[in-house]
Amino acid sequence: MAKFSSAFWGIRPPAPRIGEHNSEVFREFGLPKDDIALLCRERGDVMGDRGNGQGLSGRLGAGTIPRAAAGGRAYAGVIVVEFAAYASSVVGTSTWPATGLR
Amino acid sequence: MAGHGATVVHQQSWGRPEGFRAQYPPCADKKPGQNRSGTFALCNNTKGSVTIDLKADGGVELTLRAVAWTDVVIKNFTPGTMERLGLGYEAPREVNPALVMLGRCNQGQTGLHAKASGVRGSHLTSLSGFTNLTGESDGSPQLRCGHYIDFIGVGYEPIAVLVALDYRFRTGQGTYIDLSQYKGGLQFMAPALLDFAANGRVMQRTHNHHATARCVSGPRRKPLDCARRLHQCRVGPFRGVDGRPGVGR
Repeated sequence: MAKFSSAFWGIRPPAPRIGEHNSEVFREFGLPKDDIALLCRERGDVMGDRGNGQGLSGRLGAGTIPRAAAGGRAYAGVIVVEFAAYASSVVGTSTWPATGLR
Repeated sequence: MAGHGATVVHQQSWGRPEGFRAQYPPCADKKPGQNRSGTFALCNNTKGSVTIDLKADGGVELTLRAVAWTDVVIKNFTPGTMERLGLGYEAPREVNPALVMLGRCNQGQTGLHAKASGVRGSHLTSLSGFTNLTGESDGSPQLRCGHYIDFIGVGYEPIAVLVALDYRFRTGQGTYIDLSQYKGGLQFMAPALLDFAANGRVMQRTHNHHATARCVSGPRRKPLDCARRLHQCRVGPFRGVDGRPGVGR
């Protein structure tokens, strides 16, 4: 007898690195390959890499978006895009109040 | 939602990456930097990441392609930012008429305090009264785990989005949701607000005691010990509201 039930389970993929799924998502948008390649070359433009030494080219195509698993999950098929806009200057090196972690 | 099967893509820019990803502790090797935040990793597993600079040439057009591709858009910019970029609700709805969009800024998209700045949620945590109610009765107010109210706000967001999706599945219509984190946090202050509205009482700091819940034995215990025993308590959350014994008594 199997230890686990037949219900879906799995290990969650880790949080993505910044821009990890660019090429895959752009393909989903319907961008042609040439445009995606152009975005790669001109990543200082739309992708906004301002020469900070962490270029995207090494990561393009490296990731795969975590997908909904088959089997009638509650949100299967729903796609969410979330915009992240956090001021980077306000968090600094403050101490986490509850844990003391820095 | 990502953990329950939705495909979720996190969009940000390299030009001004969010601090959450780089600086929220604990950081790998205790060094802040891109992709080093443990808190970001904890909150963003099972997601995808794409970088689009909304202020770069072509950035808005590329984002509208994302809007056409997706079912739900969640934004946390200050009110008016997306509108100035041409990404308010109208333009996205033209490319995706059934779009569900959720705005989740501090104090809502409209109103007197809509554009008031907020820092880490600590501001909202205090504004909604949590700070004033935490601590010794004869001591100073204590800030709860910093951005405590953030964790409340995100609890209401998936509920709102799921309701909008249900409406969309039944009618084909999209929805714009303006969810103020501040108002979401106030829901957890309901007992204090209700007590004031009904009885005129202003809740005060009382260490680890509770106005209507009491440990079964022991006059004063350590907070953790008290929390363990709360399940044994007989709770009357609305005691005195209508002059009769409360629920559970």
